[in-house]
Amino acid sequence: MNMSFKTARFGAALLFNTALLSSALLTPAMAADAPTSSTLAQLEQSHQLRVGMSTFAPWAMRDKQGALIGFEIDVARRLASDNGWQVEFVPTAWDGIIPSLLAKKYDVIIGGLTITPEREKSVRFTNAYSHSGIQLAASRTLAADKKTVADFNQRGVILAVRRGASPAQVAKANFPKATLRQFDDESQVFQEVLNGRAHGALSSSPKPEQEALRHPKALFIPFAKPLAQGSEGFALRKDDAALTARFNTWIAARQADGWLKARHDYWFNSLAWEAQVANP
Amino acid sequence: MMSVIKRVARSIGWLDGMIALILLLAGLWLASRLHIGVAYQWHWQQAFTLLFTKGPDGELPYFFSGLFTTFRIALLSIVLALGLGTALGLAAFSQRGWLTLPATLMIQLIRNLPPLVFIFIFYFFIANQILPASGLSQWLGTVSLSPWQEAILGSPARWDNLISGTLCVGMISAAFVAEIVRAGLAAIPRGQWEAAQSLGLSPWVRLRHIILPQALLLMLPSLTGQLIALVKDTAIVSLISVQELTFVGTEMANSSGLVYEIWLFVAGAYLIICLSLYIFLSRLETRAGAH
Repeated sequence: MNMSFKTARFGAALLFNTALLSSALLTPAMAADAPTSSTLAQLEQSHQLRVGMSTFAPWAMRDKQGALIGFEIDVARRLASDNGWQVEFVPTAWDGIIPSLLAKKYDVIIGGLTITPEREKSVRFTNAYSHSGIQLAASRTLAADKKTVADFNQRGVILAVRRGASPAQVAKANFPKATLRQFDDESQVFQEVLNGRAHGALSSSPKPEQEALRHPKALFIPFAKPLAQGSEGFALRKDDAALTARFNTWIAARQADGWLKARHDYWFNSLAWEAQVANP
Repeated sequence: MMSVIKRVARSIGWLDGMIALILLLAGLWLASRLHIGVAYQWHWQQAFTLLFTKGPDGELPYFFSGLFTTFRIALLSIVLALGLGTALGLAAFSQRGWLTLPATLMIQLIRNLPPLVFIFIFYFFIANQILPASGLSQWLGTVSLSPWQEAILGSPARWDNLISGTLCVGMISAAFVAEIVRAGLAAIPRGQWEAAQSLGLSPWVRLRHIILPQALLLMLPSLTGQLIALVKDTAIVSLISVQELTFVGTEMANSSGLVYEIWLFVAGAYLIICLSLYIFLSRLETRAGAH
């Protein structure tokens, strides 16, 4: 899902983060109830893990009945049950996902958050539990003749991305001459290309590939290799070192027994789950 | 009734006809553009099925759980906006500095910030400091409700979220209601106050029986507009993850790929709520005007 700081509106939220962090450090009352392993200590008492996430196929989605499904949902459920905890999902708007973590609305973000130096300034990441590439789906009507990165890196080329997400940074790095058109939602990103108003859309695999399969007459994938490779980790508050270590152990164990790869393959390399959502 | 229709029919001239024709042509052109400009396959059947699919344990369909949350926020915010707004408006109107100054400060602060910015600041700073300190969350953990109570009040686990949303929307609206109240009171001629005073009525009786009945009549049209704006403003709290109609719409559109259908349903729902509110309030206005 490659979430990162939004540029414009998120700038304000970033300010709040900094202020929140510093207020947490300065207020004695808050400092007292926030020793180094506070979240872990609370979890040992409540046995209730609160997980922040945002809807993004196939990481986390609503099925036809409105229940949450997806890769992240599987990961969070297994993580909780292996530790003997209950899991509570807190669906959160994209804009507020990191501020809400810092404001203790939940204990951890399991939301396909790509590990980046910018984000590491405000949150603590676990080791990577998943890797996803970033791909471009191009419009057959506007970009049929474009085959290389250089073909897309031209003035007049319009690329659609999700605002502030890491595909946006990949687009800026690879196609500095192209115009970026940024949207809040992934569905709007691809609709813009389908409508013939943008030459291509950048997103985490497998979304571009799946959209191209779904609309073979309108979209194609010009590049054989992904444009960039990202690593995703759980995000915790800075002071939760003990809990992070515990999650790292869990990730290592689930990587060793192949569980993480099996779930990743199920959600990303198959469409077996598609009947569960109301996809046309 | 018939005479009204006849009168309207007689007043339609060739210019009205021309305007109607131009509008019709513009509409047809837009409709044709919609096919060219928007490569979208409509799946209304699937969208309708999705809309009415119940939860795994027979809960309310997801869309309607969002709609009900919007109702809850809107109703609670209306109560808060009218109550706090009237208090602020009276304080701003009163001639006492210690009342006027803080009320005016608060009104101007809220009125001159974009709602989005206000909500972010309010949610992450103020609500976040107030709610945990009130011990509300601990108390909520102990509450259990019967299913029908939960249908009306929503899940206790989401209440602190709901309260934050309500406070945001209610306070933004309260600032505007306060201005309407203040302006309504200021519009009553001084003579009315003086006449009431010369009758030897107490300040409260003056306000309650002489000034407010007249001022209310002046305020009602603006209040109607403000309350409709409030209902629409509830959509902004989707940004602080209150699970209301717009938030639910985003999640459903992202998960199902039925983007336009879902957003048209959401738009339709807001239209119905706001129109009903408008009709209700304008009836009230007519009745109040009859006295």
